[in-house]
Amino acid sequence: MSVVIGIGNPLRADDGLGHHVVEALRREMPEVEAVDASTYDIEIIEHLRGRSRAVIVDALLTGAEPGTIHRLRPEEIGETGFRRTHGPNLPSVLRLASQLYSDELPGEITIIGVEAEDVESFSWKLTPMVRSALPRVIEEIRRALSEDSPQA
Amino acid sequence: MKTITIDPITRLEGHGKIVIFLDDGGEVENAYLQVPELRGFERFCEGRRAEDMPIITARICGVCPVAHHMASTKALDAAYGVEPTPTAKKLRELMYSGYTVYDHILHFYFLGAPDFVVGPDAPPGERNIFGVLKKVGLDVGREVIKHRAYGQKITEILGGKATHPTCGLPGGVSKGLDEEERREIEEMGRSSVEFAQFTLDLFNKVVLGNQDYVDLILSDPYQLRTYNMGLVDDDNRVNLYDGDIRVTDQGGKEFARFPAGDYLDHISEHVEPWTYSKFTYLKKIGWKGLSDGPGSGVYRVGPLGRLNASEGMATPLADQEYQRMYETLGGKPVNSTLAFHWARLVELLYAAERVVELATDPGITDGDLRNPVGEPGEGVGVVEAARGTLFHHYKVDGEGLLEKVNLIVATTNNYAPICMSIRDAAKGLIKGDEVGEGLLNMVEMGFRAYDPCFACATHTLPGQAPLTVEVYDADGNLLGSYGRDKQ
Repeated sequence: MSVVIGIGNPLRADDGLGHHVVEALRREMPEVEAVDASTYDIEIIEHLRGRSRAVIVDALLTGAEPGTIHRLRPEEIGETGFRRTHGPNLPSVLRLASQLYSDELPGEITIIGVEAEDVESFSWKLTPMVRSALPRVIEEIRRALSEDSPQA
Repeated sequence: MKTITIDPITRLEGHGKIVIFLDDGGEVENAYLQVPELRGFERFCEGRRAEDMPIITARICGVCPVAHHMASTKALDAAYGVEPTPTAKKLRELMYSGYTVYDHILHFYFLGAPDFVVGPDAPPGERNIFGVLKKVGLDVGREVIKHRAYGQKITEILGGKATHPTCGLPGGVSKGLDEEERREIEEMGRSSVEFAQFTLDLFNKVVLGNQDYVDLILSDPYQLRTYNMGLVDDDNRVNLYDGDIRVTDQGGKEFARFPAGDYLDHISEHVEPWTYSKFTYLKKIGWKGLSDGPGSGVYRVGPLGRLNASEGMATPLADQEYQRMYETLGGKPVNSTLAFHWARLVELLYAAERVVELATDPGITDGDLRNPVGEPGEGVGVVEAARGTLFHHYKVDGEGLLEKVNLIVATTNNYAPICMSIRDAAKGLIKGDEVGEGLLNMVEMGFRAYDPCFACATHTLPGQAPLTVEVYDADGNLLGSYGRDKQ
């Protein structure tokens, strides 16, 4: 059983990317469990336990062009410099999950990070370039969920 | 003058930059925390529908959504001239107590315990939840997650959604409780009481059982003799959801007591040009800069502020712990900043006991959920967020739209004390160019105890976070920089 988890604050413009993706998924792929985890931290663990495959979607800032899609494995996001407001950051949450519930976690966790333009302003809307990336994000998720073997 | 900057601060909610100024002799002269602020948010709200505020404000930050939701709902009660029904009050406080449980658990195990359980001199790679679990065992980790999930489940049952409740309405709540839900909450509450006691026990053994830590708690750099503020009930005991605001002085005596609506008679805000956040202070004493003592209007909120501003806890087990804390630390008020961690655990126990009390209240499943509202006007709602006193002040026009919004968040109330705690810890622990990893962390310990919360941070990939420690001289020349790799 697969799950897609969107994280981020929908009131902070592009930080709400995860939320907007979940809304889109509920329309386009209603058969998939889509969780709007907003600013959850360790509670994400509960959404990972017992699933065979998981995709986590979040906004990212790496300096790339807004709307760029990064596809990452948990071991690629590491622990350094991953600042998060609300408690342990995503790498820490995943590491904690594997320490505490190693045999209950998905065999595959894919992280899809979408380059943001603005994560500071108070706005319910995505900026235009990020919004226009949504269809590509959905495609990327579709691909991640249908692959047979781990992404090289 | 040299400047040392710690940026960003580790293990906090949000991001902020610490700037420490050294004088020419290499001694710490002053220290400041530079933080983002909420004026942008207040402007964003103007012109919006007041009734949307409980939903909107819940999203200011991810950690205290229930606190904002509740302060906002109470501001609407006041603005619309309506008193919530007795059942609504109980349901609101029940949800609120659940929120306090999960928030305090997160802070202690993830943000505070790494300093104490693992040790302030341990390498940064160990000063985190993983280091804590190595010391206390993985089962504790599972219990932490389980009880945090309980707290969120209570919010979900009562509030409609797990993190961002939607139940608050002027005059009441939108959702009641049935017997099955009530029983579920009662069980989660009882389990939380046990876990709170376990955590206090752990604190006892690991922190209080270690003379070095006790000495640290009582050491000079971590003492601040400020006024203290918190909400209290009619018996002057801590209440997180409602009551009057009480301020006590350096001798533990009552200095002021007022309802939410009168806050502007007692609290003023001071602006410094180098930071966006305002400093609050007691109007009647006045702003005397970053100083403590009876002559300065600086006050503290949050767990230690609340316990100091009160005469006890309203639940039996927590009250015992309250007495024990004051006996151990030499009476009231307690001025040790690091005692915030202890006070936080006393509150954790109180909140868990309160969940059980309210869940077993015979009227908790009643159906009187809402009173009719009056005409819109102006109102103030106050609650005790995990981090401290939270004010929402709305001016609503005749169409129900917001003319003006003023928010004083918990961390703004603590802003002056936080800067002072950083400065004092730096003064005591940084001498000349000696700024080892452990020393920097000790400075951070000074403010982490407050569990401060700043506006939302961004997410960056590894290696790209702005981790800089900068040293400037009196003329503003960059002398050097220190890096801080990981939390």
